[in-house]
Amino acid sequence: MLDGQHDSRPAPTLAPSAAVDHDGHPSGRYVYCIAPGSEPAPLEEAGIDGAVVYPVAWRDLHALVHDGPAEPYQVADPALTAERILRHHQIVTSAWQRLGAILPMRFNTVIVEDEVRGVLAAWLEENYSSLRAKQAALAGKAEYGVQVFWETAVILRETFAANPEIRQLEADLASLPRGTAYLRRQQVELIAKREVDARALRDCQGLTDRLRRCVDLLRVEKPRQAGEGQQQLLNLACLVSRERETDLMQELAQIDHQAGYAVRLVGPMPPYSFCSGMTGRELPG
Amino acid sequence: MDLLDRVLERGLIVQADIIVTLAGVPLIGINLRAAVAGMETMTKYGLMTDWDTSIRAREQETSSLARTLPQLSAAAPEQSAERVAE
Repeated sequence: MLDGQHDSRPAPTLAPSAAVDHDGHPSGRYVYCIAPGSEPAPLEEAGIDGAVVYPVAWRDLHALVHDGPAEPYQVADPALTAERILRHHQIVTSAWQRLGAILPMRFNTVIVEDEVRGVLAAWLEENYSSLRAKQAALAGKAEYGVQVFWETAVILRETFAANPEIRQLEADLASLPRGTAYLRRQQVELIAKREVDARALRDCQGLTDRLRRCVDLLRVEKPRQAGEGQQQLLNLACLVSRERETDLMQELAQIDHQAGYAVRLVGPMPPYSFCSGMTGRELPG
Repeated sequence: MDLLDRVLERGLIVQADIIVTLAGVPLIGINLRAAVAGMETMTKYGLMTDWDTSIRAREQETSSLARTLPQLSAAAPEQSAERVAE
């Protein structure tokens, strides 16, 4: 990987090590993000655990890093881990706001440094074209998380009211003997379930198509658990140009306005979900 | 996928031979979600006294955090933080 030099360094382990080796060179670099610019203005904020955050540059890109041990943070303590995660996100967001398109790293990305040759600098050099292309593709864009929910009671009510078969089956329910009435109700529930499932599918497809027209890219996520009386219909990660944000907001407001629907929006945030596997050529026209 | 999930599981991928990872340790758990939610509430009300004013002033900008975190459910199913190749 490094010009054919044999790497005799042992594979990275989780053994505890000093923050710096005896020569004073960092043995590990915690990476926050990759940002445009070769000589960024110095950061005013401290990094995780008060660390000094500084740039490592290659041409017109730089990584924002802090020096530390060649091991990731342990995560046994939830409160401490939470603080570190928030600090990571704060640095990433701050860089995004000041510098434009950035490529955020996930929490706890630690590069094992080499005394002789900078591993991070070498990585930036080797991946420069790809990083530059990704960064250009994300310039001026933000990520939003969009979730659409059903209010289950409302949807069910609409389904019952709209379906003639159900209405007919329910019409004389009160006059039926108990056993028959029970079977009749089972029948009604089966039909209702079929209708609701079909509607869920139509809604998902329809809403995704609508939203795809308002955003640059979208990514369908696994549905998550919803609150009481709700069902999650759609969970999307969206990449939106800043100029098109109002279009997306308007579309979401319209969806949210419909009876039985609720929209939850998270963002704008740096484009965590659109960093990998993306080049400038992959964006839709 | 909330903000927490994104910061823990997404972002740029760096090849494994130059980074060191916590293999097999689940990062997202009920306690972590609760701690993140609690932390955010504290920052909102300026109770984190070791954060300087410039950081607190920027809390307005992290509107995504403010909107997301109070809704993290303590009952959400746990996910492991295994690095999935994308």
